[in-house]
This record gives sequence, C-alpha cells and structure tokens, in this order.
Amino acid sequence: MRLLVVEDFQPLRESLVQGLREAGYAVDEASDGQTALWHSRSGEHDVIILDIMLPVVDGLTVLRNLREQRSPSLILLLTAKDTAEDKINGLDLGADDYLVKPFVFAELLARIKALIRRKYEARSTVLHISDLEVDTTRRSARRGGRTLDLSGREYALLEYLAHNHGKIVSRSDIWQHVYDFNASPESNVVDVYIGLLRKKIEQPGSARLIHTRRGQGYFLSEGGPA
Amino acid sequence: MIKSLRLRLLIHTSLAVAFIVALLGTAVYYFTRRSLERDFNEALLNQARAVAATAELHHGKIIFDFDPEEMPQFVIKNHPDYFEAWINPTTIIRSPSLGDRDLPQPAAIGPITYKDLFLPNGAHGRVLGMSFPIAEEHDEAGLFIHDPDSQTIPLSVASETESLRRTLEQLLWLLVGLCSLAVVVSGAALVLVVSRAVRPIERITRDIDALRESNLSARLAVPDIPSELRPVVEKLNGLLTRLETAFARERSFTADVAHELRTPLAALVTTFDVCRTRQRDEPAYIAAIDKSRQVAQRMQGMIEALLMVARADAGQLAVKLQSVDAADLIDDCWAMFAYQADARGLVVNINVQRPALLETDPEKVRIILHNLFDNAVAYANDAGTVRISAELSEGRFCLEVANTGSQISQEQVPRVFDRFWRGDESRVNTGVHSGLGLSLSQRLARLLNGEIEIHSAKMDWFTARLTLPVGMPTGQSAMAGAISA
Repeated sequence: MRLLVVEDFQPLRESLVQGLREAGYAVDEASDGQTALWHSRSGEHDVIILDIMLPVVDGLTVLRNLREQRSPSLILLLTAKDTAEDKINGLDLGADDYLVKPFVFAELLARIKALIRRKYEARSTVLHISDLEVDTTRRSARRGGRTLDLSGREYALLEYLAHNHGKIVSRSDIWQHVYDFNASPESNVVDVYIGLLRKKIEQPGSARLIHTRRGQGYFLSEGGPA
Repeated sequence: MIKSLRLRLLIHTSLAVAFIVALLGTAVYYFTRRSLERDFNEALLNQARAVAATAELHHGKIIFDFDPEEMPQFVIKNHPDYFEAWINPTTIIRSPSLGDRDLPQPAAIGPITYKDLFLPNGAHGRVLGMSFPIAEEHDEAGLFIHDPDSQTIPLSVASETESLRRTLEQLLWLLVGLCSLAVVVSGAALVLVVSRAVRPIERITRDIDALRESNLSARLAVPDIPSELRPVVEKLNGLLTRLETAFARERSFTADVAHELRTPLAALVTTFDVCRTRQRDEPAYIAAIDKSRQVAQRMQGMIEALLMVARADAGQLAVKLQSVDAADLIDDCWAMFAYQADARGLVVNINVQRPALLETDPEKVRIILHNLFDNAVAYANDAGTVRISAELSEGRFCLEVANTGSQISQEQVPRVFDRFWRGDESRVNTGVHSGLGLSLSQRLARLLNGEIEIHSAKMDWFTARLTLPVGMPTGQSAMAGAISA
C-alpha cells in the first residue's frame, strides 16, 4: 500500500515516514501543498496523510483539488486544528478521516488500515481467498492453517494482491503501490518478488493462487480473473 | 441619604408640590374669607342703618318706629337677626327676637366694631356695635341736620354667621382635598414618569447582566434610550467593541499557541512511538533522542518568546537602560551567525559606523539583533547576499539587515509582524523558526521607543530597518564618541 505524508514540520514528517515505512508501507513525502499535489496527481496513493497548515498551498486547498480531480486516494487530515468546525469543514470538503495532533502512532496506523479496507471494500480485517487468509491487522498470512513466513515487502505485495483479488494488477500498479520511489526502479524487481511470494504460499500440491497474465500483469484468484 | 433615585425624586417633588399647593390654597382661602366677611359686615351694617333709620327724636323723646312687618328678620323664630339700642345705659329697644336678653353694648363714641359671639339661640353670630346721632328735625329734604346737642345712641345689631362659617369650612375642606389630591396625583404621575424613565436603565441592566465573555458581539440597543442615557450606552458599546477585539485577539492567540505547540508535541510523541515499535541499535536511539531534544528546545524557545511577547503586550517588561556601543552588540550577535552564513555560502557585507553609543536596554537589543540576523541568514537564497549596515543620524540609531532571495511580497509585509506567521513558503519548516521572531522584535523595539520597518519584494531584497533613539548619553561618553569618531 502506498501512502503520501504531507507535513511541513520536518521532525514530525521524518518520524511519520520512518514509522510508516517500518510498518510495511511504501511512503512518499511532501513538505508543502504544491509538492503534495505534484505527488498525488498520479492517484496511486491509497491514503494521503495531510496537514492543513502548509506552506505555498494549504492542506484544505490540496484536499479540494484532489476531490475535484476525482482522485481515488483516501485522505486523512492530520492537524493541530481541533475544533468541531475544523473537523466538520475538513470532512465536508471530502476528507475521509480526521486525526488531531498530538496523536498515538498506533492509532494513526489503525486508521490507515481502516481506510485501506474501505478503499478495497473489505469489511473484515481478514481477507479470504480460497484457503489463503490475509490478516491486515496483524499483517500476517496463513494458508491451509499454516502461517506463512513473509518479509514486510512480501506481505505488502500479498495484501495488495489480496485487496485486488480477482482483478489483474499490472507491474506498474504493484510498483506504485508497494515500493518506494527511492527503491531502484528495475523492471524485474516486481517479478522477483512475485516469484519469492509464490514459493512461500504455493507449496507442492496446493492450488496455484498467483496467476500471470502475460503482457498485462498478475492476479490473485482460485480460478481465472473476475 | 436615600439611594433610590425614584424615591428621592418622589419625595422632593411631592414636598415641592405640597408646598406650592398649600400656599395657593391658603391664599385662596384667605382672600375668599375676607371677601365673604366684608360682604357679611356690609350686610350687617345695612341692617344697622335700617334700624337706626327708624329712630327719631320726637319732642325730646326718642322713638323707634320699628315695624315688624317691614323688618321681619328681627321677629322670626328661626335664625333671626337681633338688635338692641341703649340710652345711657338703659335699653330703649330690643328686637322681638331677643326677648329679654341683651346684646353687648358698644361704646357711645367710636368706630363701628364687629365682634363674634354666641347668639341667644346658641348659634355662632357676629354683632356690630355702633352709635348713631339722632336729631330732632329733618330739613326740607328729609335729611338729618347735624345738631351739636344731638344725642348719640349705641346700637348693636347681630346676625348669624353659621352659613358663612359653613361656607368657609366647606371651602377649607375643598381646598385641603384638592391640595391632597394634587400632591397624590403629581406623585403618581412622577412615579409613572420615573418608572418609564428608568425602564431603559432596567433593560440596559438586564442586557449588561446577560453579557458573557463568550458572547461579546452583543451590543446594547440604542433606539429608545432617553437622550440622557445615550452617551453611557454608546460608551459601553464602545467598550464592548474594544473588549471583543481584545478577547478575539486573545482567543486566536491561545488557539495559535495550542496549534503551534501541538505540532512539535506530535513530533515528539510520534518519534517516541515509532522508536518503540521495535528493538533498535544504539545510533538509532541516540538519533531519536537528539531529534526529540531539538524539538523540545524549539518548544522552549517558542514558549520563552511567547512569554516575552505576552509580557511586552501587558507592559510588564522592564527596560534597564545602560550606555552601550551598538556596534559592539552587532559584532557580538553576528559572531553567532557568521559560521552559518559561511556554511550556506552567503556573501556578507557589514558596514557599521562605530562607535554607535546608545542609552538603551542592551538585552532587548540583543534579542532583536539575534532575530534579524537569524532570519537574514536562514532565509537568504543559496549563495545570496546578507547586508548589515548601521549608522547614527539625526539623533537616531539606524540598522538595516537585508538579504536577497526574499519570498515575501510587498503586500505580505504587514503580516510579518503577526504572531506565528511564516512568510517563507518555499522553505521547509525545519522547526527552528517559530514565526514569533519579528513579532517579538517589533514589540521590543517599540518598548525602546524604536521601530522596525520591513521592505520586501519577491525574489529580491528583504530589508528590516531598525531605528532606535540615541537616548540620553552621558556627556563624557558623548565626548569620547565625538573624539574617536
């Protein structure tokens, strides 16, 4: 899952980015509204964590802009403004969630997960595809009752595929949603991770779950794409 | 001392009305009584003359030709009149109404007298006493001829005054009643008028009572206020406007403080939270601690600046005057920024006239210089220029701190003194600049009777110009300055 952190106060932004990366998210960062708009134009961020008081272009303008462009990204306002009016205003402008500073980092993580579930229309925190279980709360996966030993990156890839299960996702989709821009953009990195993930979830004798559609991408499904 | 305006007005006005009405009533009573008594006396005198006219001297004998038919008032049983006449001192005639009783006998000589008495029938009455001469002969015209030998006969005529007394008594009660009524009515009218007059006061009182610091936008209604109260209400409204502005400023200030403290607090909490998510190596912990310390330091600096701004606003900042050379202060302060300027590759031009002797508070000047230098070095464009010049001219010390690469347009200049306003939009908020520096510096400059002016054009020079009064340098230091200059 790819996030965008927009925060002008450097020490806070650094900690946020570090914490979110360590939690397995691909994170982009911006310190002002203009950079935030430039980053978010692609619409590949699942969740944008947006401060309101920002230099150049303020957060609410960024929010309005994104909503006018029908950006698919969910937006969490993370701000020191704590009055009911501020919250109402922010939510009315199209924000999906609102968190007041200072906050507990675990709460921010929980809210981001909830937003991601919402984005992929998953009511439950556990995604089931055939005998594969992806627990988005614990960030772990089981297949046929056996816990899979996945790295953070592998889990992120699996969760992204699971959220989009039955749909073909292209390599660039995966690249954009799972990997940081600062990772080396080699074209076969995605294929390598898909290979590693396959090895871990597809034991000899079990049904194939990650399918390759040549020239288009991958999809996670019991059978063919929906 | 009666506190109630209404009661005081009521009492004073009622007393005044009562006095005037009583005076009028008394006057009316006495004039009426005098007029009525004069009429009564006139009537009595006419009776007496009529009686006297019946007397004549006939062959040396006095005869009263009294005809009861002609003067029945002296005969009737009910409320009769009375008369009696004497000749030395024997009664020669008395009215039939008297029976065998007497009226008081007047003196034989003297003016006509009137005397109040009880009449034989027990009623109040008045007796007229007179004496009239009696002559033997009439002249041809039938008039009395004055005869020096003629006798004078004392005559008393009395009549009831009951009717007069009753009339006067009625008049008295009428007047007393009217006067009382006038006092009561005027009092009631006054109470009514005063009540109406104080109603706006009561309403204003309620309005003022309803005022809360949370609702200072309310104003007292002016339209139907008596003109005497209007200035008070207008002044109160003016006060409310000033209070509202001050409260709004304080509220926004409190909100700003909360906002500005929340962000670094969030940074601290997030840094701790993230740091604790897993076991880390020592350098990672040290980095987190250093970062937190830096944030805490920023918060401390901000709180101190805030306190100083608040104290300056409240006039609680004491000025400790001292003779200083501003050029030395500039050198001292700049030393802290020279390294940073160098590290940023800035070109620095310093042109300070020395000595620049001032009578001022060096600590306050130091804070101002620190802020101005800090801004210039931090906000100059990469490889840009910082220019510092200072001189004494026309009794004022004038310092200019300028840097290239300004991000502040001329229109934004007035806002640079707002608390928490950061003009540098393109730069990252590194946590060093709280947005309080210029706001505080301006307050300190004004405290020292000085001023900071800002000139700026986007992508061009940003100039802060500080002027301070030279103050009152001692004669010796002024001389020394003159010699070494």
